[in-house]
This record gives sequence, structure tokens and C-alpha cells, in this order.
Amino acid sequence: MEEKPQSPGVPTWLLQPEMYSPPHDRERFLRANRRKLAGILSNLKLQRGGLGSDCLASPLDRLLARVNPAFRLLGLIATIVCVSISGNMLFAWTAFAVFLVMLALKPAALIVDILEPCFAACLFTALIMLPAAFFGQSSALVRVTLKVLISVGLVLQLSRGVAHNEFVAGLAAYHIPGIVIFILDMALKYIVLLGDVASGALEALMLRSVGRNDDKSGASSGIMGVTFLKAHDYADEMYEAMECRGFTGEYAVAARRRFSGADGTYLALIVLEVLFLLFTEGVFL
Amino acid sequence: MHIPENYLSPATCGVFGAAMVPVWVHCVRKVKATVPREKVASLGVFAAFSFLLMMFNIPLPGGTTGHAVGGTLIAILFGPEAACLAVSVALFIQAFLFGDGGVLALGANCFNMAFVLPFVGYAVYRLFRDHAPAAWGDRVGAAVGSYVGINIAALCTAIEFGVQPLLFSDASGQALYCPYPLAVSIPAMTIPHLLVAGVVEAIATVAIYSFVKKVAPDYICDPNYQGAVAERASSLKPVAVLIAVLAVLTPLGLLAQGTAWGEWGADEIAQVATGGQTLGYTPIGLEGGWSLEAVLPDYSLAGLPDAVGYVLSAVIGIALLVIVFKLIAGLAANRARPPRASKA
Repeated sequence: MEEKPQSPGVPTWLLQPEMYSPPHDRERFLRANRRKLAGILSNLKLQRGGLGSDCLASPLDRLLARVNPAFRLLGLIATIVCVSISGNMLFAWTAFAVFLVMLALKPAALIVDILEPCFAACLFTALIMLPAAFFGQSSALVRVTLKVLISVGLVLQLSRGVAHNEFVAGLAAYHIPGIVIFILDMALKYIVLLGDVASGALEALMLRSVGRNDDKSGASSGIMGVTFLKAHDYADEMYEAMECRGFTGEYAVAARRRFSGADGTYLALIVLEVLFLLFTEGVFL
Repeated sequence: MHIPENYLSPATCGVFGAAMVPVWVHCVRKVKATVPREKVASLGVFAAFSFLLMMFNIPLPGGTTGHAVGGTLIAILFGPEAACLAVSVALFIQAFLFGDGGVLALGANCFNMAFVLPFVGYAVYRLFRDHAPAAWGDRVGAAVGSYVGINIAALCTAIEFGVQPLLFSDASGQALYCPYPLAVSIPAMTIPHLLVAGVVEAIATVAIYSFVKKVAPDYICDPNYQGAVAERASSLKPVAVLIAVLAVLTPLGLLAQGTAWGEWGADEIAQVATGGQTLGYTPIGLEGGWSLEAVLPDYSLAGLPDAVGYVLSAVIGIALLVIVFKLIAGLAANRARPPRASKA
């Protein structure tokens, strides 16, 4: 019982060896959230202040970067509509070939970045469409899966090849109200800021979680709740900052780009694409 | 519930896009009119919050996770019109920057998740909050509202899928878009939502709402919130009916605890890594020869010379090879390089 303190001032209980081994807990939601948040944030952060040099490594992308993002958006939607309404698979396969060529010119990291979500979408589609094959609708399986791959791939190529701020500004060409563009622009910026808050809270929770956490729902709702409160504070601060800079409730979107030769060529390509669709559908025959 | 591209015909997408325009206009006007000016500036921030909420996994009983849409939650916190705008912007960002949900299907997705879900969920929530005792009406209203909201939205999605084969099929009777009729699409969409996704939505909504209410009640900025606290406990009938419906559905929710919902995110990655080069052809291979007869006519290139087909295959083949070699080289380079110092 009589234990001699080894050093003066240190209580004996502090000198007892701790043999605590925390019970094992599955922290799937913590891990899954961290992974997901990190993926989103790295994606959006890469784009802070424009595109990285890696994004424009492909010569084709450098050419496309000269085109007004508003037209590229038009081209994307036109292509997706064409792929979607094409009954003849020649058009879809051609679009697929063009997509692959554009992809093949990019650096490996960017290819992975684009293909990962594509495969997820295709796998999901193939799974959903699989029973259709047993109903004798097997062509729907191939058709829809291929078209999903092309559409998702083209969207991701555009998203990785255009700076987000330019893309949002490009929307102004379509007379979308300033307030909508403003909301979109703010949302993109604040996803990064709030995402940092959420991932910080998540990391703190992980570091402090020892042993079994029986209130996982409480923990995760706490993180989202804190993020909500932080969103509120950010919004107030932003409004104050905007008012200090003369904000009166009206949003003006900055001047548009001039029409260039690259824009003209791109628009001509869209027209050719539509003509090709009509040709494959037998309109000219 | 995100409808990908090509599940709906462009015509259907156009109809839903057109249907959403007046909704958006109404929401922008209503938000501008009812929400104070300093709050209008904050809509973008709340859209960002909505986006993150859709990305955030909520732990489920049984060790699995799922994610909520959060439309009802945002409607309770800011009002349904603000929720409609916030979720719409979040869906826009998902469609255009992350390839999640179709670009053409954006109108339909917004109709289901940004219009039906928050408005239905909010209406049910108001029913409880205004008629049930204050002690539990608020919380139960949030739970039931979010549960009903996501399920009605899932039903709308199912109907959109289900009408496709009725409206759009080719001469041989093969569906051009989603091939499942209503008899298949409605149970396929609604049962998982009744059993699992609705439960996740309800758990997430109640938990986050209670947290915000407890920690910072002033931050709830639904314009209808302050006025409607008085006058309640007058009619409990509609509430009782809803509780009865919920009671009937609850055992179904318990049954579903063992299913691996949300787990397949990890499976998906594994499958992508192993089957990465198959490019979605796997299903045909799995089905064997019989399906090929049905598939092949589809590939016939409408009487064009074979050369076109050869050229096309060559282009696809070469591009595929280049991609595969680049990926292998990229992987090898990553492995050879020591892990980077943690600079982030």
C-alpha cells in the first residue's frame, strides 16, 4: 500500500501504467465522409484562380481553351442532345471515338480523374439496365450505358477544361438573371470554405473519438449543424463586406468576351455535328 | 435519385425544364420579397451547404451509411422557396462539374428534388407544427415531413422513368430510353426509399434540426416560423392519420437494417479497379451469346460502307490503348516516387 512517490509533486495515480485498450468501433461514416469531402475539395481547390497548367497539357484542350465558355456549354448540350436522340448507333460510336481521342491526349492523372466518375455512372447504369436484358430489351442496356458514358465523360472534360469562374460567367450570355449567377458563384466558393469547416470538424471528431461511439447520428448531425452555423456566419460577414463595397441589391455580371475566330470555328463544328446526326438518321437519304 | 443522362427522352427533359422555369421565377421573387436583403446575399452560401449535405454520409444502424437530400431540412430552416433555389444550384453544380445526374435531366431532377421534395416535406412539417402539441409537433413534423417528402419525390421519379417505354420505343419495340414500365419502376424506386432512404432522410433532418434549434435557435430564418407558434392542438386528425401510416411503415424500416445500402460505394471502386478496361461491356459478356442476336442489329451502321465501321473501331481501339498505357505509366510513376511531404 505504501508506495513511494518517484518524484515530488506527481500524484501516484498518474504514475500507474494505463492498460486501456479501446473497444473496436466501425467508423465507416467518418472515413467515407473524409474521403468524399477531400475528393470534392481537392477538385474545387485545384481550380482556385483558374486552371492549372496540367489541365491544358493536351494540345486539343489548349485550342478549345480559346473558345468562349458560353459556346462550349452550348456545344456540350448540343452534343448530349444529339447523342440522346440518335437512334442509329453510328452517331453514338462516333461521339465515343471523339471522346476517347480527346481523353487520350490528356495526362494520366487527368484521365483517371475523368474516368472514375464515368465508370461509377456506367456501372450503376449497367446494373439498373441488366434486368431489361431479360425482358428482351438488351439493346437498351448497351445503348443507354454507352450514352451515359459519353454524356458524363463530356461533362467532366468540360468541367476540367474550363475555369469554373469563366464557366459561370459564360452563363451570362444566355440572359440568366444576375442573382442566379451570383448564387452559383458564391456556392462554388463557399463549398470550398464550408467543406474545410466540415472536414476540420470531422478530423477533430476522429482525433477525439476513442473507443466506441454510440451516438454516431448525433456526432454527424453535430458536424453538419456546426457547418450550418458557420454558413450563417459566413453569409452575414459576406453581406457586410458587400455592403461596405457599395452593394445595393443589384448584381451586374462583368463584360462579355469578343467573338473570335476560335468561336466561329467551334460553332461551325456544332453545325457539322448536327448535320452528321441528321445524316446518320437518314434525313438526307 | 439523381436521374442520369439518357434515362429520360430529351422531350421529357424539355417538359420538366419548362415546368421548372415558373417555379424558379416564383421562388426568386418570393425569396426576394420575403427574405430580408441581407439574407438574399446568403443564398449562395446555403446552396453550398445544401451541396455538402448531399455529399455527407449519415451512419445507419447496422454499420452502414447513407446520404440525405436534405431538401426538407433546408425548407424548415429557410423556407421552401429558398430550399428550392439552394437545391437547384447544388444539383446544377453536381451535374455540370461532377457529372452526377444528367445535364438534360437537370429539369426533371430539380422538379423531383428541388420542387416536390422540399414543398411536400415542408407542407407535412407545417401540418404537424401548427396542429400538434408543441412538445413533439416540431420534431415529429420534421421527421414525417422529410420521410414523406423524399418518398413522394421518389414516386415522381418512378413515374418519369415508367412512362418512357410507353412513349419512346423504336420500330422493333425496343425502348429508346429507360426500358422499365410503371409496374417495374414504381416498386423499384419506392420500396428502397420507403425502407432505407426515407429513414436516412428523417434521421438526418431531425438530428441536424434539433442541433441547430438547441444551439442557435435565432439562426432559423424561415419567414413563416415566428408567426405560427400560437393556436395549435385544435385538430389532431390529420396528424393521427399520418402517424398511423408511419406506424404501418416502421416495421418495414426495421427489416431493412441489414441491407448494405450505401456500402456499395466501396464495392464500386473495387469493381472499377478490376474491370476498368471493360468500359461497360461486361454485361453483354455475362449474358452470353443469346443476347448478341438482339444487340447486333443495333450496331449495323444503317447501310453505310464497312470502311466507316473499321475506321471507327480503329480510332476507338487506338485511343483506348493510349489511355490504358498512360494509366499504367502513371501508376508506375506514382509507385516509384516516394510519398510527398505533407505540405497539402
